[in-house]
Amino acid sequence: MQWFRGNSITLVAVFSVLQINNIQKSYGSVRALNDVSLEVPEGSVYGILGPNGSGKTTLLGILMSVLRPQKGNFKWFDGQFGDSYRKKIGCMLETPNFYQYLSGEENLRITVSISGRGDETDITRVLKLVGLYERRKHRFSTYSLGMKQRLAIGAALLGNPGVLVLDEPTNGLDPVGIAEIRELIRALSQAGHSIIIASHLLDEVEKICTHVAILKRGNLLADGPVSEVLMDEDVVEMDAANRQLLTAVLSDRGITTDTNKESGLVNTYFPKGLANLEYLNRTCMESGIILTHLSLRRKKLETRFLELTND
Amino acid sequence: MKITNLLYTEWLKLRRYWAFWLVLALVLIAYPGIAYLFYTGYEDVRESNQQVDAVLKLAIGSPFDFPEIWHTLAYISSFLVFIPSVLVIMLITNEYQYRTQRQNILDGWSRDQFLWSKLLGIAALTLLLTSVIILVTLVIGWANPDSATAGLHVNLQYMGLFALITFNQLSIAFLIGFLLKRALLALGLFLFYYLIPENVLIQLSSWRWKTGNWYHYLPMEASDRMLPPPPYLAKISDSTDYQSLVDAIPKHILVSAAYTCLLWLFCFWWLRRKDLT
Repeated sequence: MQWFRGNSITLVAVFSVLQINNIQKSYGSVRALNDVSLEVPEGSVYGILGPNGSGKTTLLGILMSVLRPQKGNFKWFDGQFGDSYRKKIGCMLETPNFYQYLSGEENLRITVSISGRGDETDITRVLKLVGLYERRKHRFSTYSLGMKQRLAIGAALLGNPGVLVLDEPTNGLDPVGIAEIRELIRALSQAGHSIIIASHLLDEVEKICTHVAILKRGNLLADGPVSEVLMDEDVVEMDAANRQLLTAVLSDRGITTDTNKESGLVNTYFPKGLANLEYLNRTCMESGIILTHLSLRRKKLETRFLELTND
Repeated sequence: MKITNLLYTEWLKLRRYWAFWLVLALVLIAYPGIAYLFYTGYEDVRESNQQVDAVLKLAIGSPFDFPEIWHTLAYISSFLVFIPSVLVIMLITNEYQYRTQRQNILDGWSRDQFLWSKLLGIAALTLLLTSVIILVTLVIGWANPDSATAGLHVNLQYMGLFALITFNQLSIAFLIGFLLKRALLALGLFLFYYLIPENVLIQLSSWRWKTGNWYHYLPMEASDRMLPPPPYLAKISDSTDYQSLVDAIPKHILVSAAYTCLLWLFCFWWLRRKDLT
């Protein structure tokens, strides 16, 4: 549990539904996860973002006890449900796994029987919710990829669990299906559910997540609220005859810079909308520097993501 | 989790699995069918000639009369375990084929609960097969005009031994399916093990190497030795001291029970440490 100053008057207690400590997992000589630690606040939509092969599914597999970590530990719900914690979590991991010879409805009955979540009325509810009610009596093997994905999401929603773990939930869905699932996730989040989503789609995480952890080759590169980790930035590009002096002057005023290796321009970064070109120009002039180049460009989220995940 | 819930979930998985029911139907036809075949074959030989009938009566008694019929049919049926082994292999490899064993864990079962559900399924199948054999024995015994029902319950213990052999050998089939994950491969290996390696070792040991009776403790052999042949068969098949076979039954029950326990403990240990991919 962490305490945050909610506003100037109250302190708000934020419980975490999941704590992960130094999880490590290798497949032979390949390190799939390397000392990953993070905390998922209650009520958040937590995106685990990373390119293919970054360790997202491995991490979720460990959290759902289908994979064994070599090192580290994790705790759901502060450990209050012991090993039966999975019954409290609606989970869809990788491809939908159901009995091919059973109908969608019969497969959901098995999920209800194992998890103890939901009942016959609930099966009808989730089938309607994911648009499979008309096909409920049809064998799973006759479903399209999108329908299989929707049935898996339906199974995860049985019993209205407080926590959902969804691995690439929009895989195989058409644009309308993608929009519907994202809308559903937003609605569930607003209703107070905690949701953990693994995705390689930056756009998806940006649109529906409140928090994000970025994985690359098993290493956790960044984590925290989306607004901080994937913040849009203003980038100010500057140049002057004496670049060393320009960098030193800006540094004296607490402005961090770096140099673009290709163009040689000096870059400074500001939160979105806060770059003040007039102030920068005046500061340089007062220090005897004549700027030969001064421009503002907006860094896109995608650039930020690539920056984080590229070598 | 309650046993009833584990069994109910297995029932939900199987109740529309037509391939399973088809094989089960074949199994349920095979057991009475083969018992009936032996019975009618024996009757045909007896009725063909009065002298033969008299010799048979003298030599082997009344194998299809109560109470000897319990032993006869338990013994004959104990050789048919390879037929229901198909069902057991389907029961486990099916879960790998559709990756549903992993989904069962994701949905909330522990790995132990998953294995318990399979163990209970095999126990239920054993119970069903034993019930069928009991029914077949009663029907043939009662239908047999020579059969006296006075000693009906005598020798009923052979049905218990049949159940133990069946559970033990179906557990071996399960282990092979559990480790190999592929139905045909598992079935092939089980049949191979059921028929070849132990029998070859036994023949070599007893006829060529003459290295004592260590082979009595091989898994299938120990299991088979829980249920020795009926006395009339032992009389005509070999010169082994029949009483020693009977005396060794408790020892072989213990050995087979130990194998079965170790086998299941190994499955639990293996599944607990494995990644479910």
